[in-house]
Formats: sequence, structure tokens, C-alpha cells
Amino acid sequence: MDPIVVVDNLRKWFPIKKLFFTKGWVRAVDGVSFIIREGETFGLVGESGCGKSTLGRLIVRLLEPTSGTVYFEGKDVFRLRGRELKEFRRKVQIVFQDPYSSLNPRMMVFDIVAEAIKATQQEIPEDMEDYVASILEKVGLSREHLYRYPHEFSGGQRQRIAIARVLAVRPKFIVLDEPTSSLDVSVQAQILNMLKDLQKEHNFTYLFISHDLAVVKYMSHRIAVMYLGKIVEIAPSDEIFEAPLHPYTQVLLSSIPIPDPKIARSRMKLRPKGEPPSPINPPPGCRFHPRCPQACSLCAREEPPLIEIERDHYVACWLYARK
Amino acid sequence: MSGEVLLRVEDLRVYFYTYAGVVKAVDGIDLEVYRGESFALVGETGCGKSTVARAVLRLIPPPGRIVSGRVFFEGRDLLSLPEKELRAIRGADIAYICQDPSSALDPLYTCGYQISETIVSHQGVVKWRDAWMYALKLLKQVAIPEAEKRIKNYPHELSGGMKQRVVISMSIANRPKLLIADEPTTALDVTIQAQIMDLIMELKKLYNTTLLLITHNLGLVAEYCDRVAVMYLGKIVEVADVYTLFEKPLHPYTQGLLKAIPNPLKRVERLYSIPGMIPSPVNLPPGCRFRPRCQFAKDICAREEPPMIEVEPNHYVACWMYAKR
Amino acid sequence: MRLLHILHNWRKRNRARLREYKLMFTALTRSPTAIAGLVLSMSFIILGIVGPYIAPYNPIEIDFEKMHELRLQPPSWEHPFGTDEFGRDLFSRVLCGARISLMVAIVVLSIAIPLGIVLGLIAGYFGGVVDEVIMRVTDVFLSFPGLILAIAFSAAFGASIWSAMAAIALVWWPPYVRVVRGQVLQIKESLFVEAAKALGLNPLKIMFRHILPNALTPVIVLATLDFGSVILVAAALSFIGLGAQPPTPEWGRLVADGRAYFPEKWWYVFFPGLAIFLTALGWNLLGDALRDVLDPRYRRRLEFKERRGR
Repeated sequence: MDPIVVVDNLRKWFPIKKLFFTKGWVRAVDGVSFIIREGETFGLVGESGCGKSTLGRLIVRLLEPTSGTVYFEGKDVFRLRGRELKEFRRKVQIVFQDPYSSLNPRMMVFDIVAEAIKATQQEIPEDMEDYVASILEKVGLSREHLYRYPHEFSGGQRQRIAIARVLAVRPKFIVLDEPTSSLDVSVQAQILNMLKDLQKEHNFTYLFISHDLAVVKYMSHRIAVMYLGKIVEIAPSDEIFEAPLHPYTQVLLSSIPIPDPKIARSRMKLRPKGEPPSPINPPPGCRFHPRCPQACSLCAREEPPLIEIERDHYVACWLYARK
Repeated sequence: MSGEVLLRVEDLRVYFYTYAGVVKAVDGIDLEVYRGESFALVGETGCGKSTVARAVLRLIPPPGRIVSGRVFFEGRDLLSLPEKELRAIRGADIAYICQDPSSALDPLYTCGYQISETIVSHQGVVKWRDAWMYALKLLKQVAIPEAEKRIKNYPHELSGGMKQRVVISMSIANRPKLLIADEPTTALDVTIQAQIMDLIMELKKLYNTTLLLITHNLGLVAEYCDRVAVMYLGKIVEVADVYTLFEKPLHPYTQGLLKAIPNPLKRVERLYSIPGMIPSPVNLPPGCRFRPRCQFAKDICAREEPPMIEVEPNHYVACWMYAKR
Repeated sequence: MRLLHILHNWRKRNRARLREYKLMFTALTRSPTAIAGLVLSMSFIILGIVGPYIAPYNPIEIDFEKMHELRLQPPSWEHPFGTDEFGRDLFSRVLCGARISLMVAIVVLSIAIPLGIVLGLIAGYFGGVVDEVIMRVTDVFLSFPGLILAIAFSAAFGASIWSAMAAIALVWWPPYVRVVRGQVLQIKESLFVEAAKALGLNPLKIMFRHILPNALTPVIVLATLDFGSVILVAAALSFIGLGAQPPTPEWGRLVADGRAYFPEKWWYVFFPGLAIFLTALGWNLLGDALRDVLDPRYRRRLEFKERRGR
């Protein structure tokens, strides 16, 4: 499969300003590279503050990078202008975490979806009402929901509306930024299944961002693990769970509660030391070394490169790199 | 597993009288928590699990009201106790950890002051100096690094995980017999969640405390608890020990819930999803509350509420599939 | 038939919207203070429109023949508010004054509000240097007390009702910039604005379709409260001689003229003063009520209450 998105050494530093001077930088995303292949779901997992949402926003160009770039279908995303940019917006969409803030409270469902169509499609359907209703049906809503305001819906239904807005654009690539983390378990399963079905039907490529490893595993073909602005490991989804290489991935895996008491109590428990440091002054060398159970002196001095250990399995750790 | 009953809740009903109508947040539940065990109360948003916890401590804010029921703690009915005696129990015999540690701490006082205050108000420690030293010991016990420095910090100077550790140190200050933890790790990251849960279990063992864990996370239940009660819309639908519940769930809701959570160690092609939505708590369906979403629903389910029956020893379920009629 | 079809479609599309308006209206008519505010402010507007037509006497012309006889009469059936020093009917003069006050308020606010909204939107949305420039100019205006600044401008322009209006309008916009900018800064961060950006909508569309409608609630409340305040300031300017000039029957002017005969001829000051007071009070009450009504959460609660009542 061909790569549809190529992220190349992407960096986003946010300035911390005091009066007129820049006091420091929050290194939200700090030198990240990977590719996403057409038709796959690429999972991005990490804890709060690791920069995963910033990365998602950079890829759909809601933010401009400090350095590095993203290629979509071979074109540099941040150089697109005019018609090419419009074309990019039509092909790349994003679904946000909080369905309570992602819908304009003063617009009715019909207007929300119709706006997306008018903004991106060249051919405007003749009977807009019918067309919007058909999209709503695809996400499990019905015609009677057309002329209602967002506040009349539950969280799960709102997320369906947000997905309908994205479907209306008929994109190729969708960034899903924690689409179910504010929903209950039973509703989460409905939305995840729907996203899977839609992918099959329309051959979407997904970037699925979440802090929940179990959900990411269920959705993704390949998974990248992020820690403090860096990617520490990329591997096919099964492999990352069966044979995690990076100590952080191992710690993360052993920290997620498993909904099966027998397995949960018999497995090994690894815990990281202390708390994640601030992304303002990340530790030198490997960013995980102060918390890593297996850190050595090299880890504190030099940053480990992301290298391919096996086919399609990348890890950034001195345990596996030759030096 | 059975033993001495520490907490017994009988026919507890808590209603909220809102503009929307009467919300029956908790509508007639019975449960028993044994001394020394860790008991989980699990359910989705709005099922009333947190309301149960607050009702036990009689901390229901208006427009909510405890309509009926009795809560026995070591044989005494907490709901009919005079306020003064209840206050002596709250924070001493029964401690409470809530979801949001920032709202549990007063931003105007240092952590040390707040811990010392709980000690002084319950243990008759006369000297603040002694209380302060004890607070320091507690902070070390909850594994706060540089406790000597942190004790003088204000809550806003600490991270979420650290704040929750301070709250925990406050809650164990008086060696409580019952620790009620209401979603103690929901606001925290997974690795921090694991650290905090480990800590709670460690302290539970150390002080021989009983734990009542309120959560929506079935993973936590499987990982840390002995027995579970599953709640749906103000009712308990199933009670069992953890192994039984996860291996052989009986109630259709429990079954659906267990099949709906992704398990990171298993390859699942498709998650089961419970059809429909949770109905509004104001207009509850008659009969069994789960009936509109249940694939096994029979006629009787719409007419009558199913009774709680013991299907096998210590495994209770409220469903007409198992009741004889 | 076709018309019916169109009507049906319109209703279907606007059912949700109509329900909101209906709720707003019920919410408004529910509280006694809101009703008082509504009645006072609406009667002010109606009197402002029809006042001059229903006034029993000419408010400006002086009947020189009867002047001495009619001079400073206390309230009576013929002259409910009494007469002034030229024998003119004070009731008619107060009635016609409503139109002048109404005009001042409308002119001032229709200059100040759009100006404030546009500047606030630009400052909030674009930020950076644009924001700095707009906000510093706004701050300069805000740092002077409005009334003093209006007096200064008014004095510079020369005393007339028009210069008073211009002066008030000139000092009235800064709070709107502040309010709108604050709202925009907050709404700009919402995910629905990000979603609109991801759709590639141009900034103008984002500003006017997504940000502005969500920023308007406090503007509407402020405008309603200001309706009373503007009238008050205009009256104050006229009172100290900088606004309306005789023989214009402006309320502030009337109070100023009556002052010379106070307290013996109390009605000369009292009735115009009462008019000013009631108008300012009415708009204030209405503004407070609107603050609640325009909050959708408040309306929801009310909807539930209604349903339960049924």
C-alpha cells in the first residue's frame, strides 16, 4: 500500500511569553517522523500532554509547524495555497474529542451538515434536504433530527452529527482525535463499530488518536506510542501488544487495567518511576530515562534514534541501538 | 466469601426533585460490604453509583433527598444518627476520596495544614506540632517525593497525581475502617492511575481497611476488587464475586457491558454494542429498566420489576430469565 | 396549495427555532420584574412614536395672550402635569420629550454598537498587533469617565442635541469592543470554530456565521441596559446646558428649567424627572431579565417546569 501521509521531522514549539519576551518553549511535538498508508488505521497513543493532539492538528493544518513538514499525497501540506489548499481541505478532515464544543450551538443539524457540503463540494446536490438526511441515516440518525439544535442530543448522538459533517465532505483521510473518550462504554462501542463500518464502505484512511490503548488496539492496524513530544515505538498493532520493545510501551501496557480478573492478577506489573516531566524543559538524552527501569548512563546523554528492529517495527531506545 | 458485615444498605432510595421532574437516582438498593474486602460498585454515567456513596455519608445536596432506606455501619443506622455523631464518623471511621482532587483540597491552605487539621479534629491530638509531624509521615507513606518540601506547598503547586496522593494521605490519617473511593483515578493518566490504585491497595492492606470502589472502569474492578455490584439506572442488577462476574455474567446488561469493552490482550474483530440509549431517568420504563435495550425481553419484563434472586451461592441477579414465575 | 406547501416547509424547518422563541417569551412573562421592565420600555417606545400626535397642546409654541394666566399652574384636569413658566402644558412637553430621548438612544446605540462589534471581532479574531492597537485606543477612551468625556466633546462641538448625540456615541463604543473581544477570544478556541477552519471556510464566514452569533448574547443585554443609560446621560448633558437648547422639550432640559422654581412649583421638576427615572428603570429591568432569558440552560429548566405543570 502506498503512503498517503508522510510526516517528516515535524516540530511544534509553543512560546511561553512573559511581557514581550519569550521565556521558554513548550516542546509539544519535537521531531516526529512516520508514514500512514492508504486505507489503514494508524493509531497514536500517549498520555495527556505528550503532544498527540497537537500532532493531529498539525497534520490537518490547523496549526503551522515550527519546523519539518507533512506530505499529503506527495505534496507539502504547509505550502498549499488557494485551490490546492481547498482540495486538501476536501480530502482531509478531523473529528474532535468533545462533541459538546465541536458543534455550533446556534446552528441546526441540517445547517451544520449543509455548510460542510457547500464549503467543500463542487456539485451541490439539488435536494439538499434529502441528501443531508441520507448522510444522517449513515451515522444512525434519521430525517426527523434534521431541524434540531445540538443541545437536544446526547453525547453519543452529537458525536454522530460531527461524523456526519465529516462524511458530507467525502474525505480520503480522517484524523480522529479521541472521538470516544468522553462517552460511556456502551456508546463507545457503537461509535467505534460505526467508524469501522464507514472505513470499509468508503475506504477511509484514519489517524486514530487516543490515550486508551485498548481502544487504539481495537481500531488500528499499526500503532505509534508517543512520550513527551517524541515517538518511542511504532509497530503493527498485534506486535506492540505481544512484544513491546520500548520500556515505556511495556510500562504503559502493564498499567492498563485488563477486564479479566485472571489475566489481570497473574501478569507482571511494571510501573514507571515518578511522574512525567514537563514538556517545557524535557530531560536531556532519552526523555523517558528519569522514569525508566532500565536506564543507563548513555540514555541521559544522548537521544536514541528511531530505528527499524524488525520489518515495520521501529523503536527509539538505546537497549536496541548499537553505539 | 463471607464474613462480618461492615456496611449494610437496605432499600435505599435517593430522589432528586428537579425542574425536569423527580429523578430517581437510587431507587431501592440493598447491598452488604464485608469487613476487609474491596467491593466495587460499577455502572455507566447517571446510574446512581456516586449517589449511593454520598448517601452513605448523608452528603446528598438539595434538591436531592434520601427518601427511604437504612444504612448500617457497624450496626448503627447512619441515616438516623444525630448530625454530631455522624460528623465524628465521617473522616474518621469512614473516609471519602472523590474524583477531582483539586476540589477536595482548599486552595488557601498548605497541604500540611489540611492534613494536620483532619488529625487534630478527630484524634484529640492537642499539639499542632505533633499533628504536623504525623502529616509528614503520612506524606512519606503515600510516596510523595521530597515530602518535607511538599508539605509546605499549596494544592495548585502540585500535579493531579500528587494532589490525589495528598487527598489519600488525608483519608487514611485517621485509620478509617471504610474507605469510599469515588472514581479516584478517572481524571488521571493510565500510568498514574496504576500507581495510585497500587497505593490505595497497599494502604488498605496496611491498615486493614475495607474499600468501596465506585467506578465505571471494569478493568479496575477486575484488577483490584473482590466483589462487584453492577448498577443500571438506579438499581443493582447483579452482584457476584469478581471471578464469577467476569466469567459467567448473568444479567443481559452485564453481559453486554463486558462484551462492549475492548480488551487489549485479545484480538476482537467486532465489539458487541448494547443497542439504544440509556433512557432519561425522569421517564423510566415500567417493569425492568433494561427491557427497552434487552434482546431477551419477555412480556413480563414490561409489566413487573424483576426481584433480586440468588441464582447460585453469593451470585445475585435481578432478571426474569432466572426468576421462577 | 403551493403557498400552503411553502408554509408547511417553513414551519418544519423552523420548529426548533420557534420553540426557542416561544420559550424566551414565556420565560420573560414569568417574572414580575421582567414584565414591569417590558411594559415600561415598550410604553416608552410607543410614546416616543405617537407622543407628538396625541399631545393635547402644542409643546413649543407660547400663547402670549394667556401666558400670564397659565403660568406655572399646578396639576389639574386640564394640565395633568401642570404648566411651565410660559404657560405651556408640561404633559405635552414631557410626551414629546419621549421622542427626543428615543431618537438619542437609537442614534447613539446604532453608531456605538456596530462600531464596537466590528472592532471587537477584528481585535479578538486576528489578535497580535491589530489587537494591541485597537485595544490601546479603546483603553484610552475607557480611562476617562464617559460623562466627562462627553461633556468635553459636547462643549467642543457646540451645544445642541446633535452634538450631544455625537459626543455620547463617541464615548459609548469602547465597552462593546471589550465585551465582544472577550467573547471572541473564548469562542475562537471552541472546537466548532476549528472544525469550520478544517472545512476551509474563509475568515469572514467564520467570524460572522460561527463566532458573532455566539458572542451576541452579552451585547444584547448590554445594549438594553445602555438604552436607559444613554437617555440618562443625554438628559444630564441637557441639564447642564450642553445638550438640547430651549425650546426643545428634552427631559433633562425641562428639569434644568424647572430647577429655578423648585420646591414651590415642584411639578415642573417632578414629572420630567419621573419620566427619566421610569424609562431608565424600565430598560434596566428588561436588561436584567434578558440576561436570564437568553441563557439556553435557564430556558431548558423552564421548559421542564412547563411540562411538569401540564
